[in-house]
Amino acid sequence: MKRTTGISALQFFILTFGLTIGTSILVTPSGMAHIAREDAWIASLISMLINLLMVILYIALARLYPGQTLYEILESVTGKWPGKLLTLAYLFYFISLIGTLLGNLGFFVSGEVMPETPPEVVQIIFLIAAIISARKGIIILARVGELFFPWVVVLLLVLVLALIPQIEWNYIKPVLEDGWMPVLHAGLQSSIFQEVIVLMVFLPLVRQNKPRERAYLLGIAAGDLVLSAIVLLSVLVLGIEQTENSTFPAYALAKTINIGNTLQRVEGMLITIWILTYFIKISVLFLSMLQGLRSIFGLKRQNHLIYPLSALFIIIAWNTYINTVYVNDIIATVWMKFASLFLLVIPAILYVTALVRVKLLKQKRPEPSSGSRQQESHKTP
Amino acid sequence: MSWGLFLLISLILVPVFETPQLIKLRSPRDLLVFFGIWAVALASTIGVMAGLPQWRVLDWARSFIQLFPG
Repeated sequence: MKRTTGISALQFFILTFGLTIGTSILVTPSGMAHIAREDAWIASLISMLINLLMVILYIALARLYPGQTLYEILESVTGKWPGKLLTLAYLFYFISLIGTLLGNLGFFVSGEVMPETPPEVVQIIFLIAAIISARKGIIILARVGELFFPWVVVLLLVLVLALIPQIEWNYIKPVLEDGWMPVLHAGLQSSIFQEVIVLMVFLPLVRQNKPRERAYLLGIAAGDLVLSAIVLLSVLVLGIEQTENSTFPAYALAKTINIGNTLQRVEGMLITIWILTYFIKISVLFLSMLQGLRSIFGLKRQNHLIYPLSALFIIIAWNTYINTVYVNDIIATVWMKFASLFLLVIPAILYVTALVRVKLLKQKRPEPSSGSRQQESHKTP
Repeated sequence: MSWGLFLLISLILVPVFETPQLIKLRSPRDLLVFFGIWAVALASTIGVMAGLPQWRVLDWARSFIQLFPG
């Protein structure tokens, strides 16, 4: 039987797509409508442009250190100990994300879908799926993504097509009434919620240079286009007030579908899309956490860390997602600055430093030390 | 149901399954890191059950950002 030691560009595209859509599909329209009002759809396109620029920055950085993971690049550019410190900072960012995502999952499922089920049960069940995924490794996750992808596309198409008859074009008028500033603000804020930098941990696993860069860019573009479509439909169908005031506008949107009293109550489709892409997102974050710990401590294996880490994730989720008011306050006042540090500021500084070191000072680029090879050993035939 | 207790029992069982494999691996570093993270998880779980102040990572992020006004 043929053994695969990497992931294909298509699989990488699907992982990027899933990471972009996961959770954002449910919550993004609300935040955008709050700031940009009727122009939320323009803001979502601006968010896509910002995300594409971010990915171009990451690709440029990866080109300077080919074959190296994010953590290896951090060490190569800044030195061993500062690199490890930065890796630790990224791990803190990822663990905060996982905690918040798990909390959000419990809050959504218990609040909207299964009100009699405690959020802890939902979180634990989902965490078990993530544990299995983490034990199997990124290659198996990429294959699972390939299986999920057609379903996600078909369900998205059905959802979008079923909403078209209910569109009310007047809801997006007037266009740009308050100028570009709210639109740019909403676009920037939304772009910070696509944590695509995490995929730099797995970028070296895609063998061919050009296809992997194309997959990275197309994955984020496709994911952001879907989000833009959902934002546009939310405003066109629900109107600004309902989009802004719903905690999960996309879910409210799916509930409005009613074609001839025959096709109705299809919000399950949205939940399916969300769960499938959410699974990809949380698994990718979990695997990148394991990879980061392995990189910091120079471990031989990483699988034995899965269970204690999972316990930490669930405890963080219980203590992070206390209530919507608290989380919304953090998102409004802290998260944009905090996340942009990891998504924009550090990568930009790294890129300039790396450019000076590699191009101007002609310093020799170190060979990929452990990360990519370690990841290859973390697979099943 | 006490979810903290469920988590505690699960955590106590983890070293029972993982330690033999870690010993076979002959890597003191792996063993140390595993027990370090396991101890943090165990302490956090006991903290949850005892109602002690917990990991509020978003509050930590807020404190960090407040170091840079403007």
